[in-house]
Amino acid sequence: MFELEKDQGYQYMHNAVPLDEYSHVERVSEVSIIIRVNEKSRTCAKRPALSLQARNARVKRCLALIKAKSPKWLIDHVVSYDSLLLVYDAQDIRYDIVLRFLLSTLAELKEPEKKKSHAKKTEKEIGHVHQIDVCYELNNKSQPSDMSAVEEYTNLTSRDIVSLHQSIQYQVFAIGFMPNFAYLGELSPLLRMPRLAHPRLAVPAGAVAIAGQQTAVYPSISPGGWHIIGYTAFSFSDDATVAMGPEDKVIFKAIDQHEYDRQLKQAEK
Amino acid sequence: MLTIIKSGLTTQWTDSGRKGRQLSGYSQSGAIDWFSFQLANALCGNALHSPALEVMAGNIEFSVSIACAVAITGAHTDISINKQNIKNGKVFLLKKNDHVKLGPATKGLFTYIAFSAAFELPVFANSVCAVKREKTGGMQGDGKPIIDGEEFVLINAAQIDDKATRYFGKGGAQTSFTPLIKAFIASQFYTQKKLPFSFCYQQAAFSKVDKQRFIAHEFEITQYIDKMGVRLAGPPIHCELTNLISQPMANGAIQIPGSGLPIIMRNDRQTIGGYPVIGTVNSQGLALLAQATSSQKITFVATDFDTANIWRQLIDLQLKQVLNTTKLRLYA
Repeated sequence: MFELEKDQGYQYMHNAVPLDEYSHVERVSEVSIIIRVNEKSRTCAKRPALSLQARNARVKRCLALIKAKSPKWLIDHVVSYDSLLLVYDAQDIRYDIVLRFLLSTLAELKEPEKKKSHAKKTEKEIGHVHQIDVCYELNNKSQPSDMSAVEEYTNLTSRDIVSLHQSIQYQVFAIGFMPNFAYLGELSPLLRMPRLAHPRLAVPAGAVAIAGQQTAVYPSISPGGWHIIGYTAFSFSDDATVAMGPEDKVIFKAIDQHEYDRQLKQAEK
Repeated sequence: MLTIIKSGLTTQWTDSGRKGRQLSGYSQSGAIDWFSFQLANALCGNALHSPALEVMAGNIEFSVSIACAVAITGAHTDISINKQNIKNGKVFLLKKNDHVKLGPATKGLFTYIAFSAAFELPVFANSVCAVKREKTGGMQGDGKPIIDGEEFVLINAAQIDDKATRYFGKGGAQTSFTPLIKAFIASQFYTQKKLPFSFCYQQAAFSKVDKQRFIAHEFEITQYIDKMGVRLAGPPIHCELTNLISQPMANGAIQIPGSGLPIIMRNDRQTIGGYPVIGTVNSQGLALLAQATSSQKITFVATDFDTANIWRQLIDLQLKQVLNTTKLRLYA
């Protein structure tokens, strides 16, 4: 095992083993590893930087390659924007054997991806577009808003913030953090701000929030460190089936408080 | 039939956690103190990952309608069977309709109760665990803990050997643990704990000074302590990264939010998080942390994953030994 130096383009890693010029494997606990796809090539500075979308696609491709072999020791996995967590059974297999499996399974990452013909894409691959109606006006004790903090940080009016938030058809980059919580990206560069220094202990259900280059809806009450800018009555499936798939898209539409209350009543029925 | 007469603060069925559902955002869950949980099962002669009761802060009363063995491990409480006091960390033989009472936890937080019997429990994602925040799992499937007076139907009970009763004196069966297990149980109840962890994730985004501060200083456990995570108070740790892309969270990951005060992620954590992570508390550290209560002090001790894994394998082997010894003693 070797460790790569900072100047090799890998700034934030430790115990890392390269997979291809963009991706590497890092150990994050006794029983889990993360595969990360980086923005820049490790070997050649002239190679193009990968967009977050492209990195997310590579992560999903890694998962598909691993799943195709359905390794028995794989207990669980989590997909995020540019990383994939694999949890293995340490009583069943050793880290070095998992690593060897990954190096051989993911060897074809080095080869350029074969172009798929668009005609062959199934509906599932193209994904569904969800419209989520958002009331950006709410601000009360039970439904706090960080809109004024966002205005202050971004130097934009709330109207600009609302229209910028709606200007993009978002891609689902990951589902996680809590059931049905879809990470949507990428947010307009003008709206990007760091998370709250002191995360809230309870973010209400339906809160629409932003942080970094991402936005999301909290499907149920949860602790959270994102900036709340509005609320939706959009109901996520409450059973074990997840409403949003990794290939889906989301658009936001502004509604007034009257319409929000009406939708909320309807949802309660 | 098992009747929970009084359920205390939070009592839930637990096991080694869910499998295969983290991709959709369902948390891993499972026994917070995996060691005491497996030890309770081992003392009963059960498979190590069998469902057991997890009692937070003690205060529970129950009775069983059959004769069976019961083992109580983890957080210390006063325990009595039909008003006769007994000790924690042992296995006892219950007669039909015996009344077992646990007082409030005097040391530690999570107590585990295993039976040499199986009960009818609903399963979510291959696990009996309930997660309140998610409203998943548990008897009603809504993540709620066990309520006073709740009853569980018996599926089967292991047949205990007639000769085995001679191992059960007044104070429960004689058990002799290995030095490693004995020492580990003792260390779970120290008021100042040393948590082994490994630098990983965004560790390179922390300066040498901050990393040194992280391992040199003591942290205090705040009141914000639950199955999701533990928030610490102490010297703020600075990280140069502010806009990190959300990443999957391993069990034991130590997040450093903007305030610089670490949060250790536990079994019921969210699957993805966006604060920089300085390292991961390994399974030994997680079992130590499980019995920590607010205002206790902890320090982090750096180790590597291979060393952590060797300790884990030793403990796993010795737990299996306890299990095999019990099986020989209790069952024909």
